[in-house]
Amino acid sequence: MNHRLFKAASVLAILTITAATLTACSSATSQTRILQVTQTADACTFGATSIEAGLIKFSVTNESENTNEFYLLAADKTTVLGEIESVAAATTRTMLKTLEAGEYFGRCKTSAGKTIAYVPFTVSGDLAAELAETPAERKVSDAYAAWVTQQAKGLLDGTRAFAAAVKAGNVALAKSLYDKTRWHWEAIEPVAESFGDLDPILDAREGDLEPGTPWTGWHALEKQLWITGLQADATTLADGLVANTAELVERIPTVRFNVLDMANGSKALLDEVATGKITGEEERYSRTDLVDFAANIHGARKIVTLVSPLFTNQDDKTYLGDLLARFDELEAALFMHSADASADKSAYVAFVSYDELTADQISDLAFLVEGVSEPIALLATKISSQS
Amino acid sequence: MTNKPAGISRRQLFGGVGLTAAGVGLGAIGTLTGQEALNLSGTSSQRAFWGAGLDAVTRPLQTSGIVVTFDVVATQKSLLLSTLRRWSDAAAKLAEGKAVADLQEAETSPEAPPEDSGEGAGMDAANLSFAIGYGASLFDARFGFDSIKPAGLPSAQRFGRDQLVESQTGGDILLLITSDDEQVTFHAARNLIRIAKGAFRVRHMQAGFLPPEGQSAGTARNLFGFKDGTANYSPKDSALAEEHLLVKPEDEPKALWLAGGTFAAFRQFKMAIETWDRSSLAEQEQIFGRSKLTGAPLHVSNPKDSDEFESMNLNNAAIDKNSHVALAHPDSNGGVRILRRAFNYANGLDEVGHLDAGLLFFSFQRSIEKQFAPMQTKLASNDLMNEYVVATGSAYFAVPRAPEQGSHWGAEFA
Repeated sequence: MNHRLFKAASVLAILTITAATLTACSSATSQTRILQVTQTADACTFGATSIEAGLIKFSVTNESENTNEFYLLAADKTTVLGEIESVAAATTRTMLKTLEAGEYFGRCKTSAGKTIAYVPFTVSGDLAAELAETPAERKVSDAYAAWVTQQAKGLLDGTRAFAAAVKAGNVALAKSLYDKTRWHWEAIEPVAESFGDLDPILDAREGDLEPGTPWTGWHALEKQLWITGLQADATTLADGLVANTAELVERIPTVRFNVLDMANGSKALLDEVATGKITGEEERYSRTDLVDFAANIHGARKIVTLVSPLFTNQDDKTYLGDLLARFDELEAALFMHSADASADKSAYVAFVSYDELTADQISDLAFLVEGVSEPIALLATKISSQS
Repeated sequence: MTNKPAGISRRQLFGGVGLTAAGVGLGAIGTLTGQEALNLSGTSSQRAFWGAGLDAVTRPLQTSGIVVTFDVVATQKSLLLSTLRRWSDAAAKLAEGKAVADLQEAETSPEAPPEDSGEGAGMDAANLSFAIGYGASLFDARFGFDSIKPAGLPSAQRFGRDQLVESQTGGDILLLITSDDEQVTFHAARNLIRIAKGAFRVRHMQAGFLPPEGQSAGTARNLFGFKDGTANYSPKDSALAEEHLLVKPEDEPKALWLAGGTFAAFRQFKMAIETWDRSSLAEQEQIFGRSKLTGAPLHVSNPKDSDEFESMNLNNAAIDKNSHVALAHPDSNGGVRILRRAFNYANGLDEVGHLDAGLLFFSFQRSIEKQFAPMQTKLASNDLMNEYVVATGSAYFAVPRAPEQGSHWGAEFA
């Protein structure tokens, strides 16, 4: 049995910085280079600090007694290009990534949040020209970039209005803008999360952060609005939320999306639903998880719709029809819990509180999420088999 | 088991008849000669999937079986049909000993999850067989199938002292997957469940087992330690099959798609293993009406193993009128016969720490109303065995013939 069958499915980053990385059609078949990473309690050792461009398998062995994580970072030391979560003590997990020439960092950390080390490494040589996108793929990825920009604008406008309401002490208005604005974040969540420096400042939940790091962002204000009442730092938090969201929105046009990244992103959105929303863990205080759920689903469906013109052979069209039918089933069941079951699903709609769902309803939704997750996990392969 | 003797098999008998909706060719079912053997195109451990007729429920019993029932969650008829089609394509590959998707090809896409889970790789097809069944609930208003609902397909039924568990009762679709190897059976069930995600939701799943053919002299023993079903008829006997097993077009004028198929009655029985093991041999034998050691009717004195098939004299005083055999035997049911096929099951412990074990019972027949239901009603009221078993599951399904090559499961609903 080839151990690649059990490859970690935790590659979350879905966008790539121009001239930094490319994942493309033939990447999967090109020769794989292996980069060994060994983690101990206080060291992070690379088998090599320079490697040839192409498909690289990061093989991370954890020799410490803790559960560790590994992050692949761009030259800015913050942009997350890939991560392996939960490498248990005395185990090895792997991640595949296609990298272009450039400087990169590996970050070894414990799952508890302690950084073990940042290790710089160099990728050299050229990726073959055929790894670039075809014109048809470029058209799709441009359309997605435009849509993401549009969502980012909605996010920034909403964040400004939300922050103003918080600063004015208008709790009722701030609450009403909270889930409406977060809808935009959740629709492009894998993109937003790929800014490794901004994501924890904006979207960390209580307890997510390394000890000593101040808790800021959406969920800190969520707790104040729904539980404690606005505190003395509410204004600072609101200003920080706007400033960091503005920076994130400003950076988005500098990134390039390719179609395979998009496909992986659609899978990541379904994973977000399965791990955070269906469990009611995302919106601990506001209980607006179903709004995030709907936004994640819409973000994933948007990607599927955009890549669909790339599918040419009948089998793959059948696959696509089946996938969209499963989205229909999931949306129909989900929107039963919304204010308007026949609402336009490409924009915010209010939902009942997560707490109003019965265990059976949650389990029904979870099953339908699996129904989409299974075929969407194959989207990237289906796209690469087109060319 | 992987080396079947050449010659007429049940698959040849029931397979490849090419029955049309109007019942053309029904008469050919019993034809033993002149029937071309299906091309198995491989090792002798493969059962044909396409055109296999009712082979899956008439072939010799196998060591491993999994019962899976599903609720159709999909609301779109197209999704129901596409899932059934994908199921039959996958089942056909699995029956050939192949993966549902090429494992070699998956190696070229290391970033994608393999479409086949892989635990069947390198294994023999192990005579993997699939039977599909459709429950009455599938023919409700949802998909507009009410006009083609078999008249003889009742909803799940509760008998006497049944303590039915909701999940084990009813269901829109049944898959009965059997093979000679537990891992092969599980692999098939798992990958079909995966294909159905988001469309058909598992309602009940239970694996069962039997001793290997040839290692148990005569009839397989249930977990009470008795031979049960000794009086079962062989579906190889085409006259008996015609009379007792196969649905005729005139039986189901609204549901001609079922012609040549059959009806399945499923019952899951939990056995009171611990109390049974503390009951006396005399009581155990009285309950079954048979010798525990040989399976011979209790009226046979000094029975030998071969006396298992000695004819049962229900009027003999040695046979209790309420023994299992007395109530279930064709002689006390006006000659009505069922095709009985059962697997034993064991699930570890129940919530109070008793062994959770029993019987996955299937009866196949032309008419549930005339064959199975009257017999089960009688057993439910009077069977001495009831003290030691409780039915936890109950369901009926219409089981069509396997699809012909080029067709697929669910074609009757398109």
